[in-house]
Amino acid sequence: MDKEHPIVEAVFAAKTDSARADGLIRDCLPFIRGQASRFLGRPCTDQDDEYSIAMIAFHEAIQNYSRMRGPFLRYAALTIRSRLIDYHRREKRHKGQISLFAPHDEEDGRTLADTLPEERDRFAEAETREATRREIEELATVLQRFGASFSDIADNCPRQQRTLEACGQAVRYAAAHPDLLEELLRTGRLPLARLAEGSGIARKTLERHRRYLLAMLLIQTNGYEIIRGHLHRVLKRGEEATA
Amino acid sequence: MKYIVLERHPGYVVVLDEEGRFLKAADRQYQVGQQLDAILPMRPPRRRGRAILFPALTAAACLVLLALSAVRMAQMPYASVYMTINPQVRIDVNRRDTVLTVEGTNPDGEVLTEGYEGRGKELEQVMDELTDRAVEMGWLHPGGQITLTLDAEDGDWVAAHSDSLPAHLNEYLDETLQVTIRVDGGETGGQEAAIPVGPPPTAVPTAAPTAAPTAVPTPVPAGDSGYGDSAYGSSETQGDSGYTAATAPPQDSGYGEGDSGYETPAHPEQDSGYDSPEPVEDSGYGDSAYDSE
Repeated sequence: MDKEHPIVEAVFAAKTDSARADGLIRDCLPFIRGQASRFLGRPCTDQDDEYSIAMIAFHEAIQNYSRMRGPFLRYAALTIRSRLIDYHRREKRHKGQISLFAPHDEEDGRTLADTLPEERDRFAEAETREATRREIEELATVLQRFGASFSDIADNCPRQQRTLEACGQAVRYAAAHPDLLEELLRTGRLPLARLAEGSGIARKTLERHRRYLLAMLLIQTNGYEIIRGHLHRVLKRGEEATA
Repeated sequence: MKYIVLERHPGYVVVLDEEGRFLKAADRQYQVGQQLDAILPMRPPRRRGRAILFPALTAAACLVLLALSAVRMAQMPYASVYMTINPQVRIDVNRRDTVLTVEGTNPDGEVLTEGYEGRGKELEQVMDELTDRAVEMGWLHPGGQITLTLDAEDGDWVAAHSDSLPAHLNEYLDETLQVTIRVDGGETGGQEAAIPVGPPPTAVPTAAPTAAPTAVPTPVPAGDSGYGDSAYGSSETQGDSGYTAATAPPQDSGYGEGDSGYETPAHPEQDSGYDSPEPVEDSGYGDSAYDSE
């Protein structure tokens, strides 16, 4: 196979460019759906979990693909099948549970779901979601000015617990020093030297995760109360340490 | 753990967890701003040790002469362990039982090892992790069998490992499954010993083995290898290190079994040609294409 299939070029571009990745997956949707359907033994719909899993497996295949793995689509098919098998194995364990909508009582006419004491306030949920979404959109806009997207940040996020905690320490330091945050907003650059010195975390570590730190520091600035509330665990630790 | 959905893309979403992790996960028709209790995370791409490459180069330049022979010895395959359940895999190790290569040697084996990084780990750890994977993926059930075939020039190595490996696997599986572990001598010849994990609680004990642990297994729900969380493929999964520094990608030649018939289609809509004759629930048991000897 001397001539390289054009899809390979698209795959390599998609590895680093999330917009290209989105485009590639859109082009390959019929293929992905086909793989999921084949696995299920019936046509796969958007509602099926298997569809979501097949899609994310395709993304994983894009990330992990190298020419040594042979033709890309075959590799993608392999990855999709592997993930679907994993998923089914896990889900099988839950099959013993009864449905919430099973009838509670012959005479009663209620379902089990009706007998649950808790009730979710759907209206409040929708409101919170909307408020959160607004914060997220604002954050995304600011990040874009810095040339970063959430996708990039996810790729740049520390994987090891140890590193995550180190970065958390740097974030807490920044949160306690508003002038540092002001400097970030004013200069448009991450003050890594100050962060390293002040938090005691190695500069190299911070460098490696600069996009992640950028996002986390921005969240400490005005206007992201909900998101900060969500990250209470990261921020709380600092309070205990300084107590 | 709770997650907030930050952004939607075709095929995945970016979420933020309570510990500050930004993750990619499967999109199950979520909305931006929604809070989730569980996700199906995307497995992180295998690192090729890019960040470590430059310092490693400078260090290697200094030590290259001294290290050369030692490195060569450590890299040379000393022995191979073939693990066969239905999938078959080959694990190559060096003198010190450090794994050099993990390769699926039949199509199921390739699925089993897909995404798995074994290089640099201890032999027994890799066998444990692959066994866990096999359970997770439905190839290994209670009452099933794992066959080990050992291949090495060193007869002593074969003899020693014919005892230690089954014993180790027995112990590892003892808590979760009851499987039979068989050892073939392979090329160098060797004894065959059927070593059951232990007598099932109520049934008649199987034939007395020559050297077997006698631990009594505790009954445990089938297939529960301990990956109890509902999050799919979480990054704590033992089988997927993903972070091994400076490792070469596994020697994956794709389907090496004479399947030259695969044509990459011009349009992705067409059939990929990927043949998976097994239906959904099939664990692979009883597959007649499986070569045990």
